[in-house]
Amino acid sequence: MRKSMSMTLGGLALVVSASVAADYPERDVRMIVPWGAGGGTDGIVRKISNLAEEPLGGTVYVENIEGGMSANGLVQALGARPDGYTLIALTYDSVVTIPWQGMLAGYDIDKLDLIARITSEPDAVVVPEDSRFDSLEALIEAAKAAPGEIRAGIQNMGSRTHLTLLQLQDQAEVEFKIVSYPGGAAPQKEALLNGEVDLALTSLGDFESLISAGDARGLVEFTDVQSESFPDVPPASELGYDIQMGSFVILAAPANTPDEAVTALEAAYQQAYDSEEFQSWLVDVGVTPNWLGTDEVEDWAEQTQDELFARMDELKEAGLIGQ
Amino acid sequence: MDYLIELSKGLAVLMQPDILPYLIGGYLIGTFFGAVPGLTSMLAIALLLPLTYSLDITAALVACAAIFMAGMCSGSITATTINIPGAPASMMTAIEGYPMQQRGEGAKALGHAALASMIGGALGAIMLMVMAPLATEAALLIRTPGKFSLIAFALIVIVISQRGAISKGLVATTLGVMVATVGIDVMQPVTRFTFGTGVLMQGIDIMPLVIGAFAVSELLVQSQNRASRTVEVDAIKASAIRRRDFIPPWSEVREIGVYRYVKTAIIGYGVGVLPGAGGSMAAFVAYAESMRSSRHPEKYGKGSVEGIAAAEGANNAMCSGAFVPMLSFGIPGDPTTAIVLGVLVINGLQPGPQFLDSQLALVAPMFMALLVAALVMVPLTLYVLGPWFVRIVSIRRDVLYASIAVIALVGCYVATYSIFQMGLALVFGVLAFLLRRQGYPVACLLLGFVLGPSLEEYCRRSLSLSDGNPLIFLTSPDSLFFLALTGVFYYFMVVRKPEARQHA
Amino acid sequence: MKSLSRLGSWLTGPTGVVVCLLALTLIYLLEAFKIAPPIKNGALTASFFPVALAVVMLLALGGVILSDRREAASGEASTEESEEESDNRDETTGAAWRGPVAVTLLTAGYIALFAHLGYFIATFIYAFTMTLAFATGRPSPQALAFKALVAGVITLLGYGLFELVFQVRLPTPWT
Repeated sequence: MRKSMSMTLGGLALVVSASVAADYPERDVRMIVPWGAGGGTDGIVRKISNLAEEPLGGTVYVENIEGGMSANGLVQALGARPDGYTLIALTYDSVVTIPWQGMLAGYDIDKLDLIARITSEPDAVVVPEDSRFDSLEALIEAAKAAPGEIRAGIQNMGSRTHLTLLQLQDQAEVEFKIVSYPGGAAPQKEALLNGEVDLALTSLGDFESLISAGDARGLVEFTDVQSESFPDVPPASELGYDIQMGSFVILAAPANTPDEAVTALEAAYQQAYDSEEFQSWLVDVGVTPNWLGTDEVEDWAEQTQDELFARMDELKEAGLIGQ
Repeated sequence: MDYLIELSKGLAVLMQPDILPYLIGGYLIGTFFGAVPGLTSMLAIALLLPLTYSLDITAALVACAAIFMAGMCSGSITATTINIPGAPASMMTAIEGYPMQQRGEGAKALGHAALASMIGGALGAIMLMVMAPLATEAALLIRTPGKFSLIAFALIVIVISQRGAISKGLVATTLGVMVATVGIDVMQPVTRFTFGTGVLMQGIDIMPLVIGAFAVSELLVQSQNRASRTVEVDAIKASAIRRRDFIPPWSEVREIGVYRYVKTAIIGYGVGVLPGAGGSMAAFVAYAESMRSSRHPEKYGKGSVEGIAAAEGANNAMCSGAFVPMLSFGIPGDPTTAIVLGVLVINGLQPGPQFLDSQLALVAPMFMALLVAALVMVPLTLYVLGPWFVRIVSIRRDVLYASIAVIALVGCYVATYSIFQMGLALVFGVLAFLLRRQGYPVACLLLGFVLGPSLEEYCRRSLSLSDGNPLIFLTSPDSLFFLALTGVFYYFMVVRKPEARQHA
Repeated sequence: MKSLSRLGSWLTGPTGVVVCLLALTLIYLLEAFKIAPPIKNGALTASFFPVALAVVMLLALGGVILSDRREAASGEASTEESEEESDNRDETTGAAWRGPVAVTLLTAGYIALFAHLGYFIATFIYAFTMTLAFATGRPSPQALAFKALVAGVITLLGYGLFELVFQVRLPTPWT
């Protein structure tokens, strides 16, 4: 009696989950982008979601919920029902800055099911075209000769770009004058152009329009692979620096989202990722495709977190960041 | 010469049957969103962004330009008729237009607003097409200390133009800046004034402030009266609005003067070119300058057509100015152009210094759309729909205000997806209502809020660049220029005014 | 009851507003200092600007008090005041306060129930009650029915606009 009951229940569960899998998605999927419409992350997520709709068999609509360095969007995602109909696009700040700073009580990435990483963009040093520094070595030499004078533009204090610069200062044993431009790469661009800073620290993709027009150039990328979009810019590893910093876009859902949904989403997005259209678009905008599927991305994210938390702790000890 | 040819080709493209509907449709959508309190043209573009995928990029750009221009003009409609500006950029129009409406001159006020929008918008578009590279170079001359002084200039001028209530103006402005400091600090990842709550960490969005300060407070004001329709309806019915009433009398236009229209357009365009400044700042600075140079400054605040002309002309000129840094460098001059930038990027285009040369054929229709929207759509819409606009006032009060309340609050939710921000709208509404009753200018509150964060950011960065030396504001030529300008305005508006009164 | 309304009138009157703002500024100032001392190691901190603002505000409030005193002393109302301003400046009588209070309470209720009851129900109730708040006198049954209809139309139009045209998710009781 009990055996047949459990068999029936098991069979029922199988049927139900199979029907969920067969029917998912039944309604529109909501993708939260915790950054402004028209920005870099927004562009990437919209593009790939658009291409993923067909293989997924449903619609994905993007909601921009900005503010709090992605905290606002996170709050919404965490509060949503884990039924596969709410997703969120994570970037560096969601994975590193917010948990480390403790800006969102109780939040860490284990509250989310990570689906896949799509892109990564290493940070870089960008100088104006007419800069007197034609290589990283030249810059470092000049910085050693004039400590605290060469002006380096970053984004927010305590942000990823700040961290990268601090690591460079640390490893090269130099000191720049740090000038901060919250609000993304746009004010950095302006500052580089009007001469308010001597160099800017952010991804090459952010400066793509200036680089291709010949108004700016990159000196180094903080990674260990040569970029295809920017073949003239050497990776830091080649120049003897062990710095790998950059942003990335990871798609995620609230924890305990049904496996069927996660699998379906991963498959659909991977198809979109592999498409010719997406790949060539990425080259155009200067972003590096860097797929990491569901089975690997969580480990990678945790590892990244551990490394960066340790770095940030070190820098905090040294009194270089934060209050 | 080639440039002109490309532009005229752009015009031809615009007139094609598969593109033109987007101009008209975009304009009408922009008018609706710009006029209704609780909705903004920026919201319209953001909501339509996904649709642009399926559209041809030219059509999408044309639609965006039309929405942008329309939104700036139509804010004046509700500002004049029901004293609730549809967009912060029309705040001044409410201050000047509503008194005119109450005198039965609403149609004329709308006409002046439209005329100014037309001229300002058209001049702005022309300046965009002709002067873009020059404007960019000029903008690059202004660095952070200069930007600080510019914002400080704007805020000081805002305060000193509250004749007779300067202290209250200062209180309101400072309050606005204080409200803007709630949330995460501008430069460092530190939370301020959040009292430990998670929700306040989001900071206070501009939507609840705008909706609260204008829509909700007006609702509260109106709920004090018990008349079933607003008093003016009888006056309107009696005079039977004719389409001709919308055309501003030539004598008044002449008195405003060509010089004023041109100056206003230049101010609007210039403010638009500077990244981060917005329509409300453009409108205000132009308004203040108009007041300073006016022969009848006492009329301001009671229904001055000069004031309307200045504010509306500037905010439409600003639209074109905002495209300059976006197209030249990919640096958006305003939230709406940031979204247009997104449209370009998603379609594989990256604005930059070469963009205007290589992609002129693509953006020419958009430039032309700005021009045509200003020159043709503005007067056309007013002519066709004008009488209906004015009749808004004759809707039964209970229906009218209930609708406004619902749309404004739901619009607030839609813009922020936050019930908390809806609650804030109510809080600010009550606050603004109480302040208004005591003669505190709410426009100042809003401008302080909008400009405050920039003021702080630029101040801190300037001092960080100069290693803490405050003299940087005097040694930087750009900063010195704006400080001197502040002095000039102070002289004309505070020092000289009492003399003028004595003579009169 | 009467003393409560007298307190209310004073609080929202000219001096009351100044006092409230003063209190607000002092709280703000205290909170600002809690964040950090304004200047640390020679650099500006996150609290520098707020502290400066609070100081400006205190000076401004001082200015308001002075100018109010001057006005009261000279005994004449400012001639610069527009008609609209003086209309709003009138002390509202007890009856006229009912309107704003009602609107405030209704709106607060709407916001509180928006997510729980979902868009349709909450908006319908709100629109209906708002039409009552702005009506004159006692509405007849036909008038009530008409208002209910209007409320329904408003709710539907809002739905059409936001959910259908713009694909925005309005809350439902079951999310």
